[in-house]
Amino acid sequence: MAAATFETFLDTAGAENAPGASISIDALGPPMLRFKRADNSTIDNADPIPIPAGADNYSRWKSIYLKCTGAPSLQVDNLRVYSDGGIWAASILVDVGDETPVHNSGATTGYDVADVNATMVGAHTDITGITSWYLAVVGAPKAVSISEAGAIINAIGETSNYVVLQMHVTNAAAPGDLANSTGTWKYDEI
Amino acid sequence: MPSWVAIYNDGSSLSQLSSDGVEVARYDAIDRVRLTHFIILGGDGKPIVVLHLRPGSKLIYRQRVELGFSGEEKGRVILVGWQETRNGANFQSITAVFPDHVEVMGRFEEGHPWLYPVVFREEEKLGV
Repeated sequence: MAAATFETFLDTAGAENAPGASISIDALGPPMLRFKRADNSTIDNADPIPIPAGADNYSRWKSIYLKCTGAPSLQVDNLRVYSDGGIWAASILVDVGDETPVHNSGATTGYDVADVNATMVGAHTDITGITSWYLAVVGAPKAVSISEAGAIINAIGETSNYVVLQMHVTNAAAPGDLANSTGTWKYDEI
Repeated sequence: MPSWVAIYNDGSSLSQLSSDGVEVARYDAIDRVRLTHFIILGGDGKPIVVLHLRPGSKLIYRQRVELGFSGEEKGRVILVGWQETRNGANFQSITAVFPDHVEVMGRFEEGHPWLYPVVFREEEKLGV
């Protein structure tokens, strides 16, 4: 008997409630996500976030979710996500949306196309607040909702809701490449 | 990958796996009225934990998994225990089996990296 298996997916481009591309980021890196000004999954050095002269500059937000690729015996639930807590700099910040908008095996109604240089609060139709991603740590992870039947994952193709991440850069930032940071899921399996 | 065996009060048992390792019973198939012992087996088939259950105690069992964004499993901890009501109060006992040690707690604890509460299934709830 094998354990359940999952991959982390990223949705990009497209239109409201209809992402243009969905890709497993597992094989892309590390790093598997890169915050930048373009709305795609490509890991490259193009489209960096400029250091602003005044107000903060924002990356496109990243809409990620967990997708089942090998079913559990009975169920997976109690899903959480967290960072390594290692903030890059006070001037280079990452936020996570307080809401986890709906994504499941039959719907992407929580998807919103990432805007150009805008905070996700208000610009993302399903996000009304944000919290520092670095505050989501192993002892205080962020709960992630599941919108499949019974609020559990029990079949291949079923998913978590979206977790929406976004970087913003202040005018105090210094140019350059940042070290990789890690993200982790945690869940209960039977 | 661990598995389990449920032992009933008439001496019979229900195994999650057949002798050739194929899953033949799921957790929700356990007859909790007759359940007296719940045994966790390691991947080698040897017992890791033998849980003794009193009448009225509700079995709780999970595997708590830590998974990197890369899809790589970083950790797996077995949580097994029970809860019951005594004199109107809730009592729990939770054992967490890590790869290199075992921890026992009187109840789940929010904020603990591994021993935070589970979402109880109906058959695990008291009064059901």
